[in-house]
Amino acid sequence: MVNPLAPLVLTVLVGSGATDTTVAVKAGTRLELDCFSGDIQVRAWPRDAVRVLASHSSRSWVVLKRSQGRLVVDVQSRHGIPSTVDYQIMVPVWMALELGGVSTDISVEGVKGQVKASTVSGSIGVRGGGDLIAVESVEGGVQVIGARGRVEASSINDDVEIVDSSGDISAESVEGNVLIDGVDARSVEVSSVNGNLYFNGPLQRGGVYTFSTHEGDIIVGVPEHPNVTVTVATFDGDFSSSFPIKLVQTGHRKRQNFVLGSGAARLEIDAFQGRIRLEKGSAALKAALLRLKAGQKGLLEEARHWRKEVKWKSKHDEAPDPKATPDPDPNPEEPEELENQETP
Amino acid sequence: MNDRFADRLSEYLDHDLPEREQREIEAHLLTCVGCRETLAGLTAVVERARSATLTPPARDLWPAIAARIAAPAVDAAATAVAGRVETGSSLAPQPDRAAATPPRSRRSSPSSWFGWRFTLTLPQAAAVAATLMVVAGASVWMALGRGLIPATRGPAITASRDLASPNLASPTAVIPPGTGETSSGPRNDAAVAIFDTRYDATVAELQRLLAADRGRLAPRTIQVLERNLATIDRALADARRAVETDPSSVYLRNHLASVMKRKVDLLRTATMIASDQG
Repeated sequence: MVNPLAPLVLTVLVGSGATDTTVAVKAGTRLELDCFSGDIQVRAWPRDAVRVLASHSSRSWVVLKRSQGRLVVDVQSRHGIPSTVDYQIMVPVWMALELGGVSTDISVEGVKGQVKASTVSGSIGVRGGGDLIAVESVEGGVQVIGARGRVEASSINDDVEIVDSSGDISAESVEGNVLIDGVDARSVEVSSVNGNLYFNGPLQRGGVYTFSTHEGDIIVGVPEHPNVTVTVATFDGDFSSSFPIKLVQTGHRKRQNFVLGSGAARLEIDAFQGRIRLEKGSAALKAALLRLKAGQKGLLEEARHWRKEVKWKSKHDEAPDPKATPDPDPNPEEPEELENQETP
Repeated sequence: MNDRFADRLSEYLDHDLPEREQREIEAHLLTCVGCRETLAGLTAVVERARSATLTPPARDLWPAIAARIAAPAVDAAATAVAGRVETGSSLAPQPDRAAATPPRSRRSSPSSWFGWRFTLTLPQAAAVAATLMVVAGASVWMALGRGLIPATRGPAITASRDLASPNLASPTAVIPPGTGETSSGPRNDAAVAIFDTRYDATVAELQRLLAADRGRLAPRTIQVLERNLATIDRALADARRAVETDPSSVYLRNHLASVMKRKVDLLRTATMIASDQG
């Protein structure tokens, strides 16, 4: 039932354990919903209306409040005790969402508006979203698929995954892995403390791509003919590449630079005591991604083998040619650990 | 002025670029007035940071400072509550009013945190110029390659600003005569110590707030937060050890800074969550 004349201020829906109501909304209205415990499922539909289906205790009721371009959905209970509510909400495709919870799983599908979602112990999944997609969880995983806009995603304890999206990326975790796959972005900033990082996507001219982890490994896929200036840094880890490169030391120890093609993009990779791997070829990347998803840790167990393919040279051997393409070396040198290449 | 060059001027100044790029920028500077002016500004920042005057205190300021360190506890808690009331949802952006203020959205880049990373983009350089003295301590630490461990802490090092408000201006470092000196000189130690003191104060304050609200968090959430804090603490210990082995490494100090920031971020998030659940 659509109720286009719904009160501007307050709609109280006294429930007997279930709520089902639909209200018309004007273009530009934002949906705001906080749910202490339960599920929030939001799906887009081709109508300028919001339908709220909620399953809750008979001692609770759902409140819809409209003001200043916002539609706020809330639940209240007789004794003020937060209760568990499972929401299924249909919204217009254009609608911006702001969803929050504590013990709450959140999923959003099909919207093209802004999506902001946060939870403490639940997970978050967003398929779609535009403009800005900001999602964060403490305990649960976070997944964003098919976003068109800037993505800011974080989970403290679990994995963050951003797939098939376009727009700048900021993603982080402490214990979890971060996977960025099939993303077209000009700015990517990814970090973890203990997790592995994986990136596969085009490196745009003028784009900046930074990856940093303390204890995890990092795999970055590069295009077949990359144009990127790369800085790799590690204290107690190592670096390998599936194709030959010539390393050039900067004035600082622990850090190495090299240029591929025109060097028009910038790639900065820091694995303090993990391993860094540059990879070409979708098959190898796919395999690495599957290993990451399956095994979580030990992402680069084959790095020792991979390192043998890499040509290591310091700046004392040869200055870099910025236009040089990867140079297959007929007599590859035995690779050294990065930390052993320090200048005095 | 060409952004491609301007963005690298700070690294150029640090001699942190490959030789080819150093030469490229040198050549560009010959023809670009804007970049020359920017470089002159950055150079001035570094020089002033290096020559920051340290004045012995006229009296012991520590009691007042200690009181001010404790003061933000109230502000932070109040801000957290205000944030909930004002925005009604946990992802609305909040101004970064104080380091101890739990933000709604905790996005930040390593270079935006206390504004102290030494590799600067143009906007960051502008921020540095505006808050020169705030950056001075960290800049000295970064530029002069000192280790992180201050010679003295607590009462021996004093400052005339709110230690828990990194966005505010003008710390004036003062070292009581006869204290806080090491072989590398008192100036560096003072700058490092101020920064460390600020950091320690911020972390201590956040931990105090979190401890006060701990009962509001679910046991599993506490467990998860503690596990993640332990992970960060291990990373911090690794990074500190690495800096001690090579204090002049900009990379290691940047890494340590990013881990320190990570701990503050996590504590701020945890404090915010606990506050929200009150």
